[in-house]
Amino acid sequence: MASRRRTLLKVIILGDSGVGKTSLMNQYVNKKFSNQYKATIGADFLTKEVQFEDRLFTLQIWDTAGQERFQSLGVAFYRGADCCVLVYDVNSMKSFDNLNNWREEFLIQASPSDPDNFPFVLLGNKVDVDGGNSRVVSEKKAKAWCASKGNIPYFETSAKDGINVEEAFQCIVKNALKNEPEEELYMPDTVDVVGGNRGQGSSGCC
Amino acid sequence: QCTTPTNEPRTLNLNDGAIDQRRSLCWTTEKASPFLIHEIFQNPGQTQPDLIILIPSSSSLAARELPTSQTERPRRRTAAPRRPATARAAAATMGATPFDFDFDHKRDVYGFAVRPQHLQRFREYAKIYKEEEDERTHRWKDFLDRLADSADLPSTPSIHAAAAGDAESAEKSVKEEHHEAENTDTDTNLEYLKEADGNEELGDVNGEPDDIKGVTSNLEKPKEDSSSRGADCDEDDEEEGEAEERNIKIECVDQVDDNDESIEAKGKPEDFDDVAGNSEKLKEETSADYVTPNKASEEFKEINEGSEEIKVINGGSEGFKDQNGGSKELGEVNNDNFKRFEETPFDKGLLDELEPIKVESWRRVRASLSIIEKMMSSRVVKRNDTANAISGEVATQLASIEEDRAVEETHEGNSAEESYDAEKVDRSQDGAPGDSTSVTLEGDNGGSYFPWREELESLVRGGVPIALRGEMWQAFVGVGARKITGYYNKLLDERTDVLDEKDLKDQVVNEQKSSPKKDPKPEKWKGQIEKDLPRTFPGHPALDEDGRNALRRLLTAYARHNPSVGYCQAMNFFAGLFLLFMPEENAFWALVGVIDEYFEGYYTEEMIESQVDQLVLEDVVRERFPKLAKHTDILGVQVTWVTGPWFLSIFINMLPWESGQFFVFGM
Repeated sequence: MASRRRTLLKVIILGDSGVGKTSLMNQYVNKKFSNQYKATIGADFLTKEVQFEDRLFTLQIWDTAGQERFQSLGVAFYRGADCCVLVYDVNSMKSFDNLNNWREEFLIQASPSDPDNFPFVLLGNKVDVDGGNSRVVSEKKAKAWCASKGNIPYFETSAKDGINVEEAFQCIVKNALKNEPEEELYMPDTVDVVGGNRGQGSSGCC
Repeated sequence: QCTTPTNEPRTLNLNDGAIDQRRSLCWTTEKASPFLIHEIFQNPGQTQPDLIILIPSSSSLAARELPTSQTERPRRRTAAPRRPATARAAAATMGATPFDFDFDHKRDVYGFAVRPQHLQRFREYAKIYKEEEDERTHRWKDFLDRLADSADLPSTPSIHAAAAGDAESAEKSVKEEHHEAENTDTDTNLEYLKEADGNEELGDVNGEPDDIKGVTSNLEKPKEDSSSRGADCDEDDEEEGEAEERNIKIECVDQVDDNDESIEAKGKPEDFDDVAGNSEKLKEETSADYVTPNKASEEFKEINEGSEEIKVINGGSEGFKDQNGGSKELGEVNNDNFKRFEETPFDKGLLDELEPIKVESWRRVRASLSIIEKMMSSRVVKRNDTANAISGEVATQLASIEEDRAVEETHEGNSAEESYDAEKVDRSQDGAPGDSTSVTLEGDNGGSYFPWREELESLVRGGVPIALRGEMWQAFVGVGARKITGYYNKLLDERTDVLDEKDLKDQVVNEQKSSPKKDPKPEKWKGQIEKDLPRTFPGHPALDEDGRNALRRLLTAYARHNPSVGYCQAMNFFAGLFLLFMPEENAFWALVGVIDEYFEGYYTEEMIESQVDQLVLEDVVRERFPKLAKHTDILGVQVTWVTGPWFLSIFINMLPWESGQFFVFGM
């Protein structure tokens, strides 16, 4: 392996049930869309190799269950996240209104060292639905919210049509690296290194 | 055992394939095309793998709320393969091939579409699956046979002899003698109990007289047997005598129950006489139900479907249970009758009478199943203080009430530490393997010992044949013992508030009834359920519009039954799975058993039990699989992040359908 720099980037996708978190993840990783995804139980993750500025990263994308009570279950995996992706459905005002909750819950659970500057990215999904006619959250409103939270990058996406998905994740990777601390923690090349601390690979930026 | 194909996908998705490719072989990504459905349902002559999905789409998944035009569709679809399916099901238990894998239709035996990219592999492995299934079927058949034999010996040796000899007429006469010799009132008593059940059901029927007649005829089916038996023996006098006694008993029931529907009930003997001895008419009526979409009351449909199901596939311990329910009610009312009822060769005799299609093996299978169910239901009995005092059906009935109440207390009175602890103890005792058999398995047959436990356990671990799964699950969860007639429908009834409490004599119900009033909030789980309906086994042919309606009803009913849980994602999966294997109302009781008992505290807002289990698992992994623990540590992943969803979904979607899923329920 060429670089011994940290290669794992951990991304958490949060948002209400049914806004398209799983679909976005699968569109990005597998370039496929299905309207037959099953409901996500607990959490699930996919990994994808990404290249960014001549460096190779393993992007570990955590897809979470939207139902609130799963929060009480396992949010331990929030910790060590490098970026948090908030998703709402542009056709659902409620999913937009809940963004504050998701953001705050994440900051509490993940307890990053610098909550104010922790990288979030907001995705307004399902822009394809009904040709945009059923849309209830305007781009302006979403952008205003982003501005109020410290200029969170915002993308309008369609997991179904693949609109803006690649761009959004490029930005996610970029932002995940933004907080990369000066002193690096190293991922071992092989897994049989003795005595790895729990959470070593993910404790980089926090 | 069939090993998992090891070709890893490029990306690692722990919960979606990498862990077990086999399960993804069976998973659905394709939408079910009308063509597929057509093929499956319209061509019974072909190799027919869809034995299982015939049940839900015809019975439990049949929408009760849909307008006529819509209910007509699935009925027609399923009407054609019914009788062949029966034959196949029968053949299955008799040791023939239980089902065929559907290579051509690209659907596995559970009706789940196989992903195109996995089709090749599915074909490779299908042969192994089939061999395994054959093997399982044989082993189960052997076991159930022996169980039936053993069960017959102590109480009904003559019947046993006849049954073993496969001589049907001989059996009839022998049984007749048997009944006469031991207890001349036996038949009448059974009829009487059935009548009671009829009353129970009628209480919910609001339909036209025709419907009631239909119900009656179905319920009275066994009586034809008895009367024809009488004819065989040329003892018409006795038949009349029986009929007379029946009338008396029915009136008695009316008095005891003080039922509003007593008028209808009184009218029944006449219907009865019309129907009695006329099996042709009965057949016409039942088959007509499937051709003619009926606007009949919901109850009516359900009952018909229930009894139809007896004919079609799993041999219908359903019907048996319904009767059980009736007998329970009565047993409470009248101890004398109950005792006599207990003395009669209940399982075998009643089951035989219920059997519309004389397939010897199925009768025996159901007899065996009822034994297992009784054994498993004794777990429910144990949870009750009165369990030792009262044996049998009454006890089980009470137990289920007691249990529900206990659950309620635990949920509502948060400080009810004691009841919580008591439950814990009970559960741990129940779960104790091996040595505790004599305690755990003290059944209701006079405290008889269940000597088959170990063998049954090993069989379950080896997997339950598909044809038996629905029945076995119900037996294990104790659906029959839990079932309170009418409860499910009352939960679903929007006018719950104005219903009378008489039928349910149960505190739980009162609480349930009042809870919607107390709680000004709208049912907050509704939205989530709606979101998850299309995300439950998407593309499965059984989960079409009708199927989703059934699933909605099921989940809503449970949420109302247990508001402390309401609806939690993941419930949709096993609720949906239950619907594939059993009638809707039974699925509800199975759900109640699973969530209220096995997974109590798992799906509540706090999900506390789930967290506890995961922490324990984590410790176990560290202790037993230190290498794995180290590996996940290095990755910065906790094992429980991966395993949590497995437990929450009870391994549905996580394990291949072919593997012995849900064995956790039973043992």
